[in-house]
Formats: sequence, C-alpha cells, structure tokens
Amino acid sequence: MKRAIGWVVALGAAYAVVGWLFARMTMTEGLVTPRGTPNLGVIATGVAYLGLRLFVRLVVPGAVAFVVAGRVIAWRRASVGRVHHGERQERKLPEA
Amino acid sequence: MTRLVALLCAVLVTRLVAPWWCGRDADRWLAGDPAIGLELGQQLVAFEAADDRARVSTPKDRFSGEWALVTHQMTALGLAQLCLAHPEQRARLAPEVTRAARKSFLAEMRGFGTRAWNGEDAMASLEGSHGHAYLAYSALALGMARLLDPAFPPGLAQQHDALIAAYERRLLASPTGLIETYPGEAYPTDVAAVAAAIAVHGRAAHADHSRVLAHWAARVLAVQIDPATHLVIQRMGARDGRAHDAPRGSGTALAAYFAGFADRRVAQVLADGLFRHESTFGGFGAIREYGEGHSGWGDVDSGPVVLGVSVSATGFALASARAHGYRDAFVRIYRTTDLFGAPVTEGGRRRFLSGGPIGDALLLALLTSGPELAPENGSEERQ
Repeated sequence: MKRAIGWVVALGAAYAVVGWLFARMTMTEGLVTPRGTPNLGVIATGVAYLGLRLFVRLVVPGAVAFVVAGRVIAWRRASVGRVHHGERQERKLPEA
Repeated sequence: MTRLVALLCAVLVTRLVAPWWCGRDADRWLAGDPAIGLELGQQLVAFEAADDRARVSTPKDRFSGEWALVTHQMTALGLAQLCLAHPEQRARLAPEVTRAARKSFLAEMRGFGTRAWNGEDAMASLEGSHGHAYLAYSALALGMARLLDPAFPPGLAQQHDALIAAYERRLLASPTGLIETYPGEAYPTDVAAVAAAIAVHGRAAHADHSRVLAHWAARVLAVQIDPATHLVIQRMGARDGRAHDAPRGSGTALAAYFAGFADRRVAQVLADGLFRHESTFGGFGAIREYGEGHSGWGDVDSGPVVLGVSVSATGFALASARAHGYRDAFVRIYRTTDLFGAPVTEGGRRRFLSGGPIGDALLLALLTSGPELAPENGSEERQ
C-alpha cells in the first residue's frame, strides 16, 4: 500500500512539475516561432505533459480504486475469517 | 474473485471520475458564464497587444499565413460574440474586435493568397472573376467589428463594402454556389465564410443581400452536401461542382459555424449531418473526419486523424453543439477538448496550453458561438 501511495504522489508531482514547465515554455517561447517553425523542445515537453495528463486522469483514479478495493475486500475477508475463527473457538470451548 | 471485484471498482471509478474531471467547465461554457469567456478573451486581448509589439516578417508559406489570418479573425469573432452575449463588455471589447479584424485584413496577412494567385492581390482585383474566398475570413471579422464598434474606421468600411460587393457578384454568377479560394480549388467551408461575411455586412451596413444568400443556401443543400454521409465535400471544382476530395467532418463543422451567421436552417442541416459522425467512449466525444466509404490520415485542415477522429472536426463541432442545442454532445466533446487542450488559468487569463494562440482564438469563437446566429427565419434581410 505504501508503495502504491508513493507512486501516486510521484506521478502527481511529475504531472505538476512538467505542467508548470510546459506552461512557462508556451508563455515564453510558444509552440511555434513567430515565423511558423515548430519549437521542438516545447513540443517534446508538451507531448510528455499530455502523456502524463492522460495517465493521471484516465488511469490513476482507476488504479487507486483497484488497490483500495482489493485492500478493503482482503481486510473484510480477514475480519470475517477472524469472526468465524472466534465463533468456532467459542463453540469448541464447551466440548473441551 | 477479489481481483475481479477490484477491477470492476476501477472501471466504475474511471468512468465516473475522468469525465467529471475533464468536464468541470462544460456547463459554464454552455451557460455563457461571463467570467470564463472573459478570461479566455483577456488572454487574446493580451496576445494581440504582444503581437503588435513584436511584429515580424510575413509568414512565407501558405499554411502559416492562413493560420496567422485565422488567429486574428477568430479572435475578432470570439470577442464580438462576447460583446453580443454580454453587452456591458461592448465598450471595452469592441475596439479590440476592430484591432484584431483590421490585422486579419492587412495586405501581409493575405500574402499567401496573393502568391497562390500568382501575384494577384484580392483587393486589387475586385472587378475580376477570381474568387479569393480566403479573404472572406477577414471580411467576416470586419463585419462583426463594424456591427459593434461605433468608431469603426470609415476608410476600412469602404474597402469592406467593395469586397462584399465583389463576393456578392461572384457568388450570384456561380451555378454551383462556389467561388474559388485558390486557382482551380473551391472549398465549401470558405464559401460559407463568404456567405457569413455577406450576411453580417447586411446587418452592419443595413444592406439587402437576401438574393445572394438564398442562392448560396439553395446550392449548399443541392450541390455541396454529400447525400450518403450528410457531410460537406471538402474541396470541389468551382465551375463543375465535382468533388475533388472526400466529404469530411472538419470542413462540415467549420462550415456549420460560418453558415450560422448567414442562414440558421443551413447551419442546422450541417450540424445534424455532423453529429451523425460523433464517436463516443466513456463519456468523451469526438467527430470522425471521414464519412462511410472514405478514409485518410488527415491534412492541414483536419490535423492528425487518430482512430478515425480528427482534432479540427472535434474542436469545430463545439460551435454547432452550443449554438444549436446539442447539449450532451457539447459536454462530451468539451471533455475531450479539455483533456487534450489542457486549459490553465493564470492571473485572470485562461489559455489552452497545447493549442497556442490559434487554438485559444478558435476555442474562444467556438465555445461562445450562439449570439452570432442569423435570426430564426434565415438571414436578417429576409425579415
């Protein structure tokens, strides 16, 4: 679980940093020069940012839900298991 | 079993969160929230001011020249639509509309067209029969500026009158309702811009253009729409009306926006055809570039075509969706626009990071489309 949280935090941080960088670059240099030539560095940063944006918006929420749901189900099973185990123990006591 | 339930949860959360996250502003654009429109408008006002300070040499190739013209034109149209929707902004924004429209009309902006016509300048050949339809984009912007700005320069108004008169004469003489953009090439989308420019001129200068607008509308419906796909043919022969390209979404979507200035009925027909080609997935929407039986990789008009949908067709469709009440389609397409356009707001200005100034200008015009529509029964002149 800690590792999953670490991944989400790292992705969020990378998304924010690359987004900030791309925003600055589009402001100062632009996607194309005033003569219409593409600024390849800005475009490469933009591609990286859009890749992160797609991943963060389309994949991360589902991945978080997958991990959390898995943990919740496992915890519920463990709890139910402990209860059943306890009941069995209680039932066994009079026999003992 | 645990994994299956977790996977179902993941799919459900993705289906709910992603569209919500990307569509948070859709309702504000639909409702015409002045704050969000003015934030983007403010970005373009700042762009025009910076552009004035940093003027550089004329773009040399056709496409960067077209993009420069369209950036100024769409800035003018978007700001004009904001003025129409929020009249309290008119005094402040109308001079900006004129500034952007005037810039789109500079001789250097149409240099790409002059070169395409072997040195024949559109404004120096108004008596001729060559279409020069690309300049209708500027003429439309000038018309909107003239409609709104009481200080619109009289000299510019005279040039505008002369250009519109030339377009009216050329269009009436065309049996196909098409006039050329470049030698031998007619684009129904550009001719829709011609019709829009003529219609707005009628409103601004109180001139009657009903005959030419009726002629254009009839030819659009009879000649320029492919009956099988309901899309406008992208490129045609001006004289014989033969298709030189496929029926395509990008041309149809932009033509529908321009048609709205001139004739609501034509715009509605084009919009109906366009939204037959919407692809949806997980709450997101996009417009397919090619109709059934046609395919391609896209070009300068459509942008890249990925999985059959194009950037331009999808973006341009926002205008028709908003103006003609395709509310659900608007929300779905806006989500896609937000996801890939990456809007940010800084210092009271909004911009779309991946679109640059032309993307901002286009989206301002498209996301505020509606107030520019011709009156219900067609062009105003017919009332």
